[in-house]
Amino acid sequence: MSVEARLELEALDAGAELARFISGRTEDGAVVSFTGLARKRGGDGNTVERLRLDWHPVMTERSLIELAEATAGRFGVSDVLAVHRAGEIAPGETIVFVAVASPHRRQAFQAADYLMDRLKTEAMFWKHERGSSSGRWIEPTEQDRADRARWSD
Amino acid sequence: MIRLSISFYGEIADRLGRERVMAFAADDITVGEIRAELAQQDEAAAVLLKPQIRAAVDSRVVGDEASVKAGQEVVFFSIVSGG
Repeated sequence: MSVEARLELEALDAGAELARFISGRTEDGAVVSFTGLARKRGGDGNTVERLRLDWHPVMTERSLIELAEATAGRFGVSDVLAVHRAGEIAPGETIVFVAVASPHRRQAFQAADYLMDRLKTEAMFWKHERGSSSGRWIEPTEQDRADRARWSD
Repeated sequence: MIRLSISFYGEIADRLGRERVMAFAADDITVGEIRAELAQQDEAAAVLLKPQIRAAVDSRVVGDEASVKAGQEVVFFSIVSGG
């Protein structure tokens, strides 16, 4: 089992990450991946011109690793990959990429779903949306917290 | 006397800047005492007295009772947004 989680400060190429993750597998029948994109419309309905994900040089990447490891341990899947952008992100850019490989598909679907729910609430970022006239700091939404609460720990 | 690097993340960084280097009279000091000292020196830093502002020492999240010694890095941060 291998777990990889890292911060990406430049463009995140989901296609390249997925191709690399799939390559050379002979024991796994399933790879499930998720690609999250920065949306143009913010949580308050206003247009977002720029998203900024502030990060800590040690604690943020460690939080990604801990969540990816917890995912691998919980579902017993073969491999877990999580790549997360930090810094300035424009609408339409990939902000997060997650992939899980497993001998069978069910565990891979569940593990990817679980990892995303935890990343959305617990990854150590501070997210700021900037529109044309104002900016605002973002916290996890009620939906994010409800999604996280679907899992028992 | 010790000098400490204190940095701020999230919304509080808008008010307090990214980093300050500060000198304290004692040889060691607790996180709670650092909060109080900063709040006393700077009105904007009163936000540090709110319990939702968490602290870390050398990249480990700690409580207010944690003691800080020379050379350690202190971080205060607003509620994390998740990814």
